[in-house]
Amino acid sequence: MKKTPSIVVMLVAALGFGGLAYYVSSSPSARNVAAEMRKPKEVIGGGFRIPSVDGENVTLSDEKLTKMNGVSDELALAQAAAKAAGANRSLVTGAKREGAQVTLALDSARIFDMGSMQESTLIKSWQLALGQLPGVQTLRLEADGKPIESLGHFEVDQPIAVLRDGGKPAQP
Amino acid sequence: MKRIQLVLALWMALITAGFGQIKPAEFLAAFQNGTSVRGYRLGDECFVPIDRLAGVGINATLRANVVDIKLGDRVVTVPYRTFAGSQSVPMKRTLEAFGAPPVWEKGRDRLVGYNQLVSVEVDSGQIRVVSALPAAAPLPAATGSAVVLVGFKNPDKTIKSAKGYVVDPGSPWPSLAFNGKLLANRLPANSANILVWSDQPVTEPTPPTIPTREPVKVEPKIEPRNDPPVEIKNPVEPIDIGAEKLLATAFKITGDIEGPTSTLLSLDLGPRLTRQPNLRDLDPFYAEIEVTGVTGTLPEDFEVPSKRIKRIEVDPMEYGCVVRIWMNEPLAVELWKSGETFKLQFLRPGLSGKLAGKVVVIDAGHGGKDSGAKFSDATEKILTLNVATRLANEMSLAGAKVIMTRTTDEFIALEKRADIANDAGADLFISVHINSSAKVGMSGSITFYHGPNTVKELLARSIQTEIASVSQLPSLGAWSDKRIYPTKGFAVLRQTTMPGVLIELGFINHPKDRARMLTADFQTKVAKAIVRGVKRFLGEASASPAFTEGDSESDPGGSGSSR
Repeated sequence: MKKTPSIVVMLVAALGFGGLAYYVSSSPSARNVAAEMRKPKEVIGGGFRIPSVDGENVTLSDEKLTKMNGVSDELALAQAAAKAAGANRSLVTGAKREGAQVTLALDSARIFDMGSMQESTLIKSWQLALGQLPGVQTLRLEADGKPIESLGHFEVDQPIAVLRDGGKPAQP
Repeated sequence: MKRIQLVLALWMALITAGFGQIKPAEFLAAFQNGTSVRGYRLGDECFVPIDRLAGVGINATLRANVVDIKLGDRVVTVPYRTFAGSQSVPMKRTLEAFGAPPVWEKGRDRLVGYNQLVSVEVDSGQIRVVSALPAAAPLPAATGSAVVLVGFKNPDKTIKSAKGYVVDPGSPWPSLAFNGKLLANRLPANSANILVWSDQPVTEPTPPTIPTREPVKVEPKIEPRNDPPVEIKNPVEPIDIGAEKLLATAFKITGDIEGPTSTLLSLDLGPRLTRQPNLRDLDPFYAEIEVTGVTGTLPEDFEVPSKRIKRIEVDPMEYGCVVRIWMNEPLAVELWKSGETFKLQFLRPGLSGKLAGKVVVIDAGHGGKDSGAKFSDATEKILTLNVATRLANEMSLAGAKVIMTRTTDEFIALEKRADIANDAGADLFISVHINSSAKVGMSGSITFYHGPNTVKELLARSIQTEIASVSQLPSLGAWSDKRIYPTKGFAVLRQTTMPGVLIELGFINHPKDRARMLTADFQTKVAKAIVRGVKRFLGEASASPAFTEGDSESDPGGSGSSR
């Protein structure tokens, strides 16, 4: 092989290597990909039903809950209930279950942006949605790790009894 | 030779990575007059950098690992990805969340977002067109008798794919039918026209500059069209009781107790009564009892058995009769069954006399970090302070001693608001709020009281009736706060010890309510109306003209509560 073509080949190879390196460096990093997108598969969530709001009335619709892999039933139900009540579903940032109580963590920047009708339907949506979970009797609301006193109109600083299908409060 | 293979392998890897996964793409917002922005295609998704979204009329707010996308009055939250340092929004996923799935143009890397027609409803002479995304264009419209033609900007064939629509190939135009009520013709010039057959025919064309979400008023006076109208079911089935079968019964009304604060009457409506009478206490000075299935008469020598009652009449109706009661002073009314008769109790409020000198606490809802309901250019905490300030001025002019829970944009806890009223020994507590609902559609004012409590209900009804007379918005009535929050009701009403109301003036997410509430005219008139309502509750002002004797056929404000 002659000497000159060898230099050209090496130059082309270097350009190719440089281009590949640039591509890798500019590609989206895994740490920039939201957790939800890493687990995009939607699965049916336990046959739970989504609340439906009509004026001041809230009932459980026939629509079944769907949720992302890895999302708990409590969080998926609370977010679906928030959406049904016209609130942003990202209002609910977390949900944890401790015995018979579900504590919902809310985004403190979003808890005060509802009128009374919407606030009441939101609370009732949560009561009905979480009331489908066997063994759950009450729900609590907190933001920034502290109990929420009110969402603007009603006192919610104490545990709220969830509602069973049909609207009856859960009995201990 | 080996070196050549190495070079080729490197270049093949680069080409595969670069062109096989991420490609430049375009997002065309057909629903925003066809504007477009550049983005990236990854698989079946089109990512558009957040800072370019404003170019297609989309508002985006970046948060921790998600982005809020706002279109019109709706917000959806989606996760973003970073490409070349720019946070980029998955447009396909976003528009699917809005209910308007976009489509990739065949053979091109261009994602096209079309609007989707969700529904067209005809109700009470109004047409409501709902689309998944805000419609940028006005509605050109033309009408024929019995038919309203509503133009709907829709740059492609999206109506054809809308759920529930069926292509009618027999029509000269490509026509669509919906539930036998609606015909839609898609015209060639990037628009769709919807023919709505109304049970109320029309003659004049509807003005062409009506936004999509505003209802199109159907004028009722027209010459009927010869075309057979499509049947629209009347949602209210008339009750056929058969008036000719009703036999008059001799009603008996006697006085039981006349105490210092209450009056108790017995009401004997005869043995044929099969349904519970319905009390409608419409005004502090007027109430009526609807009796179904039975009509009756009072003795010719009937005398009103109480000095608090001015007059009682029985009016026969098709379904039975109405017992009308006019009162000499503002009274709360209760009705219940006792054995074979009914008891009618009239209660004097513990508070009466002139408004001048009374201590009134006025509470402007929300404030500070608590913005209350927000929509578009309206924020509840600002609106409530505007109305509360005007109300305080009107109350002061009437001679009341006014205390406001806040006069600036500051956060005050609900418990503190109640404490202000209780510590001042206030006579009345009035909290001003703006409502919002889960879905767009609810409209009108509600005055809440902490109940059940007939005296507080009387105050609420007095105020609600007056608000309804000036607000130009529907009146949803006086409601117990337990109706929407059964466990405790409103915190400020439960914790205050004096008669109090919480007034929701309208729905901030209803376009008509919002536009009206933002006007100074509304705010001033409502403030004056609340003062009038309080005066009527106190007995300082007389009955509403609608409820004076001889003119009580209707409830102008629709504010009566039925029990």
